[in-house]
Amino acid sequence: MWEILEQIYNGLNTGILYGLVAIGYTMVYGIIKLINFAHGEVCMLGIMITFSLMSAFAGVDSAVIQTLLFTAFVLIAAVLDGTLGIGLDLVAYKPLRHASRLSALITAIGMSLLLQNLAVLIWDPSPKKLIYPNWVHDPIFVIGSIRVQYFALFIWVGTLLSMVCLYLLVMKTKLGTAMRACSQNSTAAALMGVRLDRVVGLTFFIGSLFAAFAGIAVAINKEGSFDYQIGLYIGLVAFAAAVLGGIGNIPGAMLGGVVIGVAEALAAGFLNKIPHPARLLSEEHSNLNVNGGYTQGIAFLVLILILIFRPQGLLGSKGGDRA
Amino acid sequence: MKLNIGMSLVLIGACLASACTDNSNKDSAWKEVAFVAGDGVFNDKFIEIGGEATKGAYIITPYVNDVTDKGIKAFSDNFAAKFKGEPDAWAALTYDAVGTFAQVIAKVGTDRQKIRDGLAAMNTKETGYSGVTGITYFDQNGDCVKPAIVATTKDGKFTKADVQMGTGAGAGVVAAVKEGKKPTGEPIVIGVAGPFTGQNQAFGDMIRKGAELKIEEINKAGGINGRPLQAKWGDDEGVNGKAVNVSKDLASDPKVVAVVGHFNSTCSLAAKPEYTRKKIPMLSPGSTNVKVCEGSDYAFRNLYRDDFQGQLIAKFLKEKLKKTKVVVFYDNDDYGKGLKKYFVKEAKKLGLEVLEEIPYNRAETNDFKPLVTKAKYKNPDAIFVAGLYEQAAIIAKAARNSGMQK
Repeated sequence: MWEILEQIYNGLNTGILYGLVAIGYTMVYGIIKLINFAHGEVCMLGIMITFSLMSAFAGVDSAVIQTLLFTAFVLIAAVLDGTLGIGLDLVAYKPLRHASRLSALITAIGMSLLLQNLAVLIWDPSPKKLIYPNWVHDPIFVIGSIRVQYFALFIWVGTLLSMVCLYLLVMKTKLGTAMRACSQNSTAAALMGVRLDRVVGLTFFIGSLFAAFAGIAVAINKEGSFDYQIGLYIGLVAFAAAVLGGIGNIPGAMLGGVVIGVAEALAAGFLNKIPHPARLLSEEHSNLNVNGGYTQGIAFLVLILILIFRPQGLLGSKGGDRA
Repeated sequence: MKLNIGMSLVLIGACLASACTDNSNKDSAWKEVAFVAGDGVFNDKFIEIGGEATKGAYIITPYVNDVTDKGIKAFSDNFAAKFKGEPDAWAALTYDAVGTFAQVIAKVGTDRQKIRDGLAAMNTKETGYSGVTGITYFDQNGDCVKPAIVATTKDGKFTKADVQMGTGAGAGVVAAVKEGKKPTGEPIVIGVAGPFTGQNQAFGDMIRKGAELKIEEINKAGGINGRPLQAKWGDDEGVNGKAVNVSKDLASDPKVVAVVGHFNSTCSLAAKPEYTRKKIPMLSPGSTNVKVCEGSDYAFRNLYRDDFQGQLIAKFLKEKLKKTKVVVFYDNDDYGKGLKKYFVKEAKKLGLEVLEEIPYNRAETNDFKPLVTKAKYKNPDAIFVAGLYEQAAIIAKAARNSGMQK
């Protein structure tokens, strides 16, 4: 019983982080109909920047100062990362605004590889240890055998706040109205006087900001260990989450992230051995041990199953022009 | 409305935080639950990433930089003078692998086939090569008979554990480095292949340093029969596909007479066919998978195999630490799966209960919490990780944070 609950708790914690990253995919798609495959790398660069800043102050012993430094550096890294997102748009996607969607998509893949290799050049490919205040892993309270860590509190409150702010921005401000107008019909919106490039830039900024926060949290969830490839896998799962929730739909992205996170955790926790097909022929083959090794496979299986029955995703609206 | 939920969450959290504190597990080492890992974890990065959580973990290794041993001290000092820092097992084994080739080449010349026969002829302790990792000699398979050492982490370093299995190794008789005439003429080239970049770069660095140090020492002492020794580096990035390319590159170069490598078992297995085809001897300083030397006259290694290592760890847990229930984490590659297989086999024989075997993928597994949670609910009194340092460190830390170790 507690085991199931703890696995769901694990899954929710990673799930909302996937959701935060997925929001970046989904917002960009909503406005310029582009899957920004470099989004995972933006996420990774956010972690790298924090890593470099924290490593420069590795000698700090006091937990209080370390916590303050970490908070400041995370904010700096997030803003830098957001700016990087705008830069990415200016350099790679803006010149292709009127080109075919395929060119933009291939450019996105190219940018992803470019940023990854750039990270290897700057930070070398060995695994890194992100320094962060260790007390975030201390339990706030213990229910049954689940130790609810401060870390969980932070990501939940942080995610909730981000979602509320994003909701207010999109639904209640003029800028948000412009964003929604662009996502409905960008040409018409531009004709009505909406500055498309500014709206797109802002979208990239917000998406990358969220990606930086989420990426750092994923690294902490992995006990601070990461390398340049972390963005690739976060990006892949978050992309799946965005599609699962209905790409272009912001609450959908969060829901998709949570579904995939929980599916992964439950798969890792409860799938055990499945019979090897060859066992029918001879007893020599051992069972396939699927737990752990195939968690991502399970996540994508969930994606495929849901898309078979709801091709528009969980919260997506039925539209004809979905890629 | 939503804001209120957030606020109240913070309040609830703050109240509960003041009410319950459970920091009792802060400083204790792995005691009620033992943490044991194979030699893939033997790298300083394990301690760097895992921090406090690695304290008191037991790691099996072919070599510990135990400076109380005279031969090791000389090697360790030379290493520190050249590179700063201490050598680890992989630097030492590579150092000895280069030394083994140098000894054979000095005797039989630079013909690939003759070098291979020379290695094969080192089949007893007396004819073997005496180096810092003990005496290297081969059985007819090309495998090496060498003891393993139990290391533990203490003060941020690997040291020899108080509890040992068997006699332990200790260096052989190591000749001091002599100054000699400057070598002249055409250099003798040996290939050195390993993960010099990529995820396993930390291992690759040590391999490169070990080889560089030995080559420098040999050349300082007058080279091999008056000719200088030179390395040709082959970077396999720890990826089997790249290892195939490296093997083709090294084997097709007529100047390369022998290959030290590869490191990852997966890479050695992938590269072996090409070396065998081109009849060039390979001597691995790190691959422990059982099949590495099988079915080829040209594949050798200078450390023990995973079956030996797996059995030893099972015996160590059962007989020395008196543990009865173990959860095994293993990396889903040739090394992890092989080591796990032999551990489980031996554990069954000894009556050590294996509660769960949990695989993970080195690159793809983003979240180890669900795996560790699964282990936690099995209530093991020992954890064994058959994998590499980074993931082992994550598992150790996650297990501590999940409240597994009281």
